[in-house]
Amino acid sequence: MITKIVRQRYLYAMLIPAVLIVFTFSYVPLFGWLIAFVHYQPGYPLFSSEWVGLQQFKAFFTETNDYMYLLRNTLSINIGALIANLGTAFLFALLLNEIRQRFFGKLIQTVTFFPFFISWIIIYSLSSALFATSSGAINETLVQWGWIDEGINVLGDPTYSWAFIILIGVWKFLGYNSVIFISAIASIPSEFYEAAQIDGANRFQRMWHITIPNLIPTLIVLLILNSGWILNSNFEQFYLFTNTTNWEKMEVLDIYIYRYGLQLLNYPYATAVGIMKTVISLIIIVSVNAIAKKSTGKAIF
Amino acid sequence: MKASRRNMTLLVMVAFVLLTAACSSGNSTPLATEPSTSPESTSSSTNEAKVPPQEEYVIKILTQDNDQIKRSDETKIGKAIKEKFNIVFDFVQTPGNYTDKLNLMLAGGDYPEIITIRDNATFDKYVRASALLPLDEFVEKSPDFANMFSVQIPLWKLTAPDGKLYKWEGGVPVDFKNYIEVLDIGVRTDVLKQQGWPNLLSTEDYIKFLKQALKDNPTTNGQKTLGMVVPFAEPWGMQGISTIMYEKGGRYTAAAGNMGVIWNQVDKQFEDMMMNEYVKESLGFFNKLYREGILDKDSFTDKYDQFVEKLNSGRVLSSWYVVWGLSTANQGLIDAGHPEMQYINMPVRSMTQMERNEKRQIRVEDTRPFDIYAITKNAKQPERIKELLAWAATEEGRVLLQSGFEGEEYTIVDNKRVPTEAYKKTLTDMDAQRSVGFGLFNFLGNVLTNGQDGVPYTMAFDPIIQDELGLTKEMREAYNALGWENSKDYYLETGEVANTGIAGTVSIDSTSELGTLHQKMVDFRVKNSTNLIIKPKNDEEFDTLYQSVISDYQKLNPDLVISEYNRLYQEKQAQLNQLK
Amino acid sequence: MKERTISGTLFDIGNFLFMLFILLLMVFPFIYIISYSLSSPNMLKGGLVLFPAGFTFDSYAKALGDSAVLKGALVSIARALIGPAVMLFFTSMGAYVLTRSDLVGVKFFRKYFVFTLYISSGIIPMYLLMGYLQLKGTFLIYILPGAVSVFSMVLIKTYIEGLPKELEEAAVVDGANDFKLFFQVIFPICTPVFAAVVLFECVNQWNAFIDTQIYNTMSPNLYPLQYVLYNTLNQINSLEQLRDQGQKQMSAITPQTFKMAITVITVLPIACVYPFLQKYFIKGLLVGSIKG
Repeated sequence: MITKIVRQRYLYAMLIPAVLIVFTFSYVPLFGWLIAFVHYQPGYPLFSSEWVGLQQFKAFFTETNDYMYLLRNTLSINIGALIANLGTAFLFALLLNEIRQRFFGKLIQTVTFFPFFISWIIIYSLSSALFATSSGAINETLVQWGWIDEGINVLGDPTYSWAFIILIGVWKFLGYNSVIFISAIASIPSEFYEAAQIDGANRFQRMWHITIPNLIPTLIVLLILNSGWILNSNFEQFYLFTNTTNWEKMEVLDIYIYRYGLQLLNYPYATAVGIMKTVISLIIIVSVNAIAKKSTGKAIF
Repeated sequence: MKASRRNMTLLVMVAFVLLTAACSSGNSTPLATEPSTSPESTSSSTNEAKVPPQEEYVIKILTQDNDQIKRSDETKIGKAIKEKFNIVFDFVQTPGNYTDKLNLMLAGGDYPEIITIRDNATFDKYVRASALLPLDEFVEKSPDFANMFSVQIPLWKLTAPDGKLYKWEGGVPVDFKNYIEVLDIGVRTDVLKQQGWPNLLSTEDYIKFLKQALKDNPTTNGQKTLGMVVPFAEPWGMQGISTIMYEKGGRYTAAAGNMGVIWNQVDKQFEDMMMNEYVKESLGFFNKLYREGILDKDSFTDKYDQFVEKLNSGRVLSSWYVVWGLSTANQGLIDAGHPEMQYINMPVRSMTQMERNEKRQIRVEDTRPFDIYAITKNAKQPERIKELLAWAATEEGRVLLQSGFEGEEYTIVDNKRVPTEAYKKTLTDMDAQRSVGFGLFNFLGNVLTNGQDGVPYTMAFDPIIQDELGLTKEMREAYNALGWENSKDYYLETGEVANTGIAGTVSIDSTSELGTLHQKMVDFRVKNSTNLIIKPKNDEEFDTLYQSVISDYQKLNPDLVISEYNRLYQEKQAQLNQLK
Repeated sequence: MKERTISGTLFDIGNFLFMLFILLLMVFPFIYIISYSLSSPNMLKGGLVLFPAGFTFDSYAKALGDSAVLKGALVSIARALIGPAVMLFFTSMGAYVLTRSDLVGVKFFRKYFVFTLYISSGIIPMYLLMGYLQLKGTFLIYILPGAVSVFSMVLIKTYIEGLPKELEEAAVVDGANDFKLFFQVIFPICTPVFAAVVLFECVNQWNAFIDTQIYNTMSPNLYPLQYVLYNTLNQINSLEQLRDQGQKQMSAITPQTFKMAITVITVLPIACVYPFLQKYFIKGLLVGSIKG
């Protein structure tokens, strides 16, 4: 064992810097979890604050029965978004790879990256300009053409909320998400394609038998990684797109936590929720990783 | 292939070089900044009594609303302060969530020398962590300060857990006539003219008026006309202004904010907002507007930006409460060649309010917890700051800070300050305002009362100048056609002053169980308000739904929060009597 | 060696049209954003803006007129260059080591890194830690906390694992040590995935300003471009509030037009740089030539 470690000294030398950096910036701050267990007042030394134990955790579980719909919304939207985002990025990378005009391909790849830089507040005004019931461009046109009598309330009607918020996300992140798949395609040795061509495989067969199988490991890894964030929502996005007409389908866990924790300056509460989310995330990621390993042989640890 | 490998090694080397460069530059920075601060702090402790003004004292001020000025001595007023006290303010922008920033600085102990705080809860935390310097002794030695804030000082003391004075606030005291805040309904003047300048007073008047106006003007400039727009999708939208009818006539003011309770100014008690009769009428009014097709359906998803764009287009007949966007819209309508379509602010009352015909309680804030200032224990020379603060409370200081210089911003006629053209220019021209420094020193107090000569310290608050500069020609004409002398005339007649007093300082601990319940009450009200506006098809349905909503609401036990508010009020009242 | 089949041609046409549709979907909002940013606010009448209403450059003049903009751009460029370089150095080494299943304790280390993706400690402890490490008010605070990107690490690890094993084996036979193995054999053929993670990090650094807002407000010399713009936006916001309070300040800029202008300013450099980065994404490793 010792000799093995000594033999692997170069490997450790390459690993240790990363281990230390991660330790400092990710593990050391965990002392802050104490905040959840004490009567915390900023400005007072944390370690001498009054110990209150699990009070915050109890409060979280006993004070409300809103969690059913909060969890339903959070999970539905996030799982939907995960599948939609990765699926479209996968497909887009695959199709982009088949574009023969080099310049056009580059142009598309660049342009799809743009929406990533548009802040949610601008996306909201854009959505409103397009989809608002009485003044949105699309509804106005449809009403003018007589296709519908009254505008479709995409922004307010809970019927459309999930689909709408997921599709907006797909649009914003398509270019960003597809970069990984594009780089994965680039790792496929060109000999594979040449050999297949010699064997008489046509384009679709090559896509099916070479490109897609080589993208699957990346897809699985991304699925596993993202599964741990299934309870997290982009705060800004939901803060903007949730209104009093669609809240029952749009309100997610993070918004609730914001309202009852940070907005009220309740740091112990917010920290307690953070701890619980960390624990749940870790359980999910370990389980999903195990399932993936068993069923596909691919895993991240 | 070789070439690319060389490129890669090069890349790695570059990374190394950059890293070491970054490390060394990073290490040098804190070393460079630290010595510069330490000598000053030692000097302050050695000569406590009176520091020679020769030594320049630079104080960092965190600001959220300063436009471009980096150092106070870039301005005329700032130069005068520097000459007198040799104090210069260095303005640092702090965009983003300021409350978070305050809490982080408190946790890290690196708050600035003079601090701006925007809510009582954070102020309380600063006091409890003994981060602020008490000002009680200072007040005893500074009669001007004690005089100027004679109403405020006991109220300010009340907000500190130990009853000491730790803060002062901007925007108080207020002279009622200088600052009448009435926000009701913005109405398009060409439609008013069309219907012969009707005397619109009640909700029913408005419904009749708007219905007729929509019939007469189905389109505006080729676009479909919208009866009324409201930015309900803003966080303060449905929560704050769908129920605000309660303040339009009699008894209630918004002194408690727009959360779960409202303040009854006449009976001096807090009451439940959701169950208030005027709130019911307010929601009923919107339900009716919605049923009649007057309320724009986009209102529930419109934020302020969308709301303003609609106003700009002129296709809107009226706007609820948010009348502060009107001046921009009016300017746009003038530019677009439709000066006749401008909006003016007009009053409204519910039917019950009409019937009872009680005087409207017009809120005048005695304290403004979103504008708190304090000296922290990080102050290097607190005595010099206090000296400046004492001067700022003198007549000389107030006039200089808020009116500028004699012969430049004002002239004295019959012992009264009269604003010059140059001053009026500062009100409309940002650059002119900047070079003088108006508004830059609000952290030294910003008083909305009149000076000893009877003219407001900030001359722009003179009601005549307000109308002269704030209203367009067409707006003034419209008010005249309605028979008003000026834009505030009607409210002065039908309303009376309602000082917020202690009511404005009462709030329950947001991190307690009752705090959570309070938040739930607000959530409940906001979510059900929308249903009450959208769902009922007639008055009976509205009543039925309202009854069922209220019975659900009572299951939350809102009484607990209301009685806690009243208990705190009584407690504070007793404390205040003691202080007096 | 080009084959032409009817189905292939049809597919090409369909694919081309589909991509054209995507192109429209992505470009069209920018027509709105650019037009909006060039419009004078009181001429904006709601709905879609497809050409500027009342043409004005004021938002851009305001954004770029500040003296702090140039300095901010330099800080941003420094962040966008140094950040990814440092990140790539530490992260790629770590990622490679994690692919080596023979390493003692590798299973522990894999979890050790991945778990940090899901751990949140809250903002207050981070603030205290940065104060304790004396990183507040330094440029290093932009670089060090992100010096290891675990997400990138997992991507790089996956990529290396997908490479043909013969490469490593050949090098080991040649007697190369682990350092050489990584830097001379593995590193050069990882360009596509490096390009991807460097792009991500670049974009993160370019967009970042929250760290400045939290840790570096007192050091104007370290404000990145985004923060300078954010500051200006904040001023415009408060200006609008002044106007709302009845002070008749007319201005050809609103927070909304300014936000649109910021978006355009932010996207432009990416539009210029990204196409050059794309040569690293090009399909087809020449594995054979490396082996040979």
